[in-house]
Parts: sequence; C-alpha cells; structure tokens
Amino acid sequence: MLRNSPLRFVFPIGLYIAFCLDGSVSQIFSKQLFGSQSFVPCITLMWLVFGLLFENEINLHIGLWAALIGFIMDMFYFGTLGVYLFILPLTVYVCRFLYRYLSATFISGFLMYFIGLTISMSFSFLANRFVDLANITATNFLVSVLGPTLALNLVLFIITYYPVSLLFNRYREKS
Amino acid sequence: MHKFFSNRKLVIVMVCVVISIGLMTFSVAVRNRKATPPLIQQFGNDVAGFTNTIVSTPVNLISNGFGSLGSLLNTYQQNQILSKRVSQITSTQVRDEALQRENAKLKSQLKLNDTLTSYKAINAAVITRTPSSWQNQIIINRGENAGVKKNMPVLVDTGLAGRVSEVNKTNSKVELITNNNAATNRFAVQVNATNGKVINGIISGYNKTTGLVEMGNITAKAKIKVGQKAYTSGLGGITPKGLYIGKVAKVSTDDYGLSYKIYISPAADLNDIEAVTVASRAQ
Repeated sequence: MLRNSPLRFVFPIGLYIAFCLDGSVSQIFSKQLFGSQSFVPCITLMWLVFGLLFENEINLHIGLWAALIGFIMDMFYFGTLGVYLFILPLTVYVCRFLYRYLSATFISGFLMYFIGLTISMSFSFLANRFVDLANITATNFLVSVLGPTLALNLVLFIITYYPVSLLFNRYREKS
Repeated sequence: MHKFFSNRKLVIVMVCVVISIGLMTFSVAVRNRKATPPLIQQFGNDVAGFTNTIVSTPVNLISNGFGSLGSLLNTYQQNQILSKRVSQITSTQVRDEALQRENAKLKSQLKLNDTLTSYKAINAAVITRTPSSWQNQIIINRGENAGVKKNMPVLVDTGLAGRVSEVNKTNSKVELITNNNAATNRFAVQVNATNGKVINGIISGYNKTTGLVEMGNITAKAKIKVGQKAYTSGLGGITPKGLYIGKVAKVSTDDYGLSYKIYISPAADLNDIEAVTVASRAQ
C-alpha cells in the first residue's frame, strides 16, 4: 500500500519545481537579493528537508534524489561539477542523523534546516574557494553571505511549513 | 593503518572527496581550455534549460506584470523628461546617419570590409540566474545553434553586461562584469583623457558595496575627468570596439600608489536584466 503512495511522484516533481524556483527567484528579485549582502535562495534544500520531515514510513529515497538534483544544479546553474552532487546528499545524511535524536516537531525541523543550510553553504563556499570561483574571505562569507542567507531561508521555511505539511499529508492519505 | 581502511564510512568519504575534487578540477580545466563543455553535459543543460522554461516563463510573466504596473505610475514624469530630449535625439540621429554613410563610403574606398567596431547582434532572453553569491551568472536562451560562441561580449540596451562563459546547443551561461573571481575573462577598456589621449586598461574587479567597476593595468598617466565615458577597446580578439560600459566615477591610485585605478559606474543595471544582445564580431 505504501509502495504506491502518490507521494513518490509528488516529491520528485516538487523537487524539480523547487530547483527551477531557485533560479527564477534569484533572477526576479536579483535587485533585492544580491546587493552588498547576498540572500541566496535554497528552496531545493528546503524541499529535501521537508521530504525528510514528512516522509514518515514511506521511503522516498531522498538521498538519491538529492544526489541527482545536485548533479543537475552543478551542471545547469554553476558549470562546476562535483560540488552540490556531494553536498546535498551529505546535508540530507546529517539531517536524517539529527532527526533520529529529535522529536518530530516544527522546532526540530527548523533546527534541522538551520544546520543543513549552514553545512551546505559552508561546504559550497569551501569548494568554490578551492577552485578560486569565490573571491571573498571567510569572515566576509559569514557576515555578508551566510547570515543573510540563513535569515531569508528560515523565514521562507516558517512561511511554507504549514502549507507543505498539508500537501504531504493529503497525498499520503490517498494511498 | 589497518583500522583506518576497515572503516567503511571513512573509505566512502575519502572516495567521495577524491571524486568531487577530480570533477571540480575537470570542469575548471574544460572551462579554461575548451570552447564547449562535453557533449553529455551540453545535452543535460539543454534538457534542463528547456524544462526550466516551463516553470520560469509563468513566473517571469507574473513579475513582468507587476513591473509594468510599477512603471505605469512613473510614466507621466518620464514622459515630460523624455519629450524634451526627443528633439535633440532626432538631430543626433540625422547626423549619425550621415556619418555612417560617409564612413561606409570611405571604407569602401579603402577596401576595408570589417573593422574593429562592426558586429552582428544576436538577441536573447534571460531564462534564469545562478542562485549563488559569488557567481553572478545568468542563463540565456540562445546557444550554439543561434551562433553564440564562448567569450562573446553580452550587452543590455544601456551598455556592456558580461561575457559568454559556457555554450550549449540551445542555451548559454553569461558571466556578468560584476563577477569577481579569478576565472573571469577581463575586458580591454578605453577612456578618453583630457588632452586628447586615449587611456587603455583592463577591467580588473568589482566593488560590491560601492557598485563600481575597477579598471586597472593602466598604461599611461594622463588627467581623466570624472564623467568621461568608458568603452571597450576592441583589442585582444573577440570583443568589438566601442561597446559602452559606463562613466568614470572616481580616479585614484592603487594600493601601492604606483599606478592609476579608474572606477567606472556601469551603465547597465546588472541586477535587473531581462533581455540581452550577444555581440558577435564579424570574422
């Protein structure tokens, strides 16, 4: 019964839409988002974390999807392969590890996303620093990239938490 | 040592790190040396670009609707200012046409076909933008099929915006001049000095807080007025001459006080690009 849950199709479609929204939001709000401080939207990662929070007993293979969407992101958005291909599954792994020790509440989801964001942003900074694509110092990164990004994405998380939980519940019940 | 290798997780981590670094080095090498990425990557990008438009087109339409509503409110003021300038523009246009005709005649007399200034325009729309803080990169909906090649300069209606950094069949990536990384190809730039001399230099960076483009590697010392126009010099290959970049905002010396540094405020609004023109130099 659970194997035929429509969530198995809804989750990847939502993941791809989230991936597209990442770019579109950056494009449309580029004036507001990329000034002297950078608010980088991480909607794809948010969708993955939502998947972890709401999958319950259905196995959605989130790690595999994370690797796949990470690869597409590397290819299409950044042009540098091998960055998000590993960062997204790593983040999913760490979040799942944390989730085992936390109760399934909004606050623990919030905390998971906070930690996941910090990991993914820091590792992508390190990787880009390594190939010399990022030309900012670590202090600068913390203050003008990581801080604003966390603020933006956590607000987005709070806003979308309830609607997304309804969406997941609805498609789970249909099974 | 034995324990180190028996730990399965550690081995997985090491393998992942090695593959990751390998892939990164590979893509940087391809970016530096090859005109196009490998065929599989191109194919993936084309598919991703196509499917991305399904989401990005309605989103862009909605935002354009809001944008035009906003601009409707400014229309009256704008109309008043612009109507004053129309009469000036007509006279300039007439003169421009006459000069162009004269130029064509002189060129044909000298048997000059294409000079540094001539280029063919390829128009493209922006599909999406890289969600990244350090890679100011947009993705446009024209690629190899439309004649776009790597390193071609990209313009918006008001001035130079950036350079094509990766070409696929149906879409390509454009690095904006606000990009600060070492891999960015720099533009050769000219500014007119006061005594009739021309100062050559190269765009060397971008200051995020002031929003000014830095022009370094300046060869000569001459007085430059603030407000002078900076444009591409056409030296060094693929960029045509005379693409407008912006006006000089500040002139100062570099960190060691040895050479000049000119700060240009870019004419193009680089955080609000909807459509671009790729300038393909006639060859």
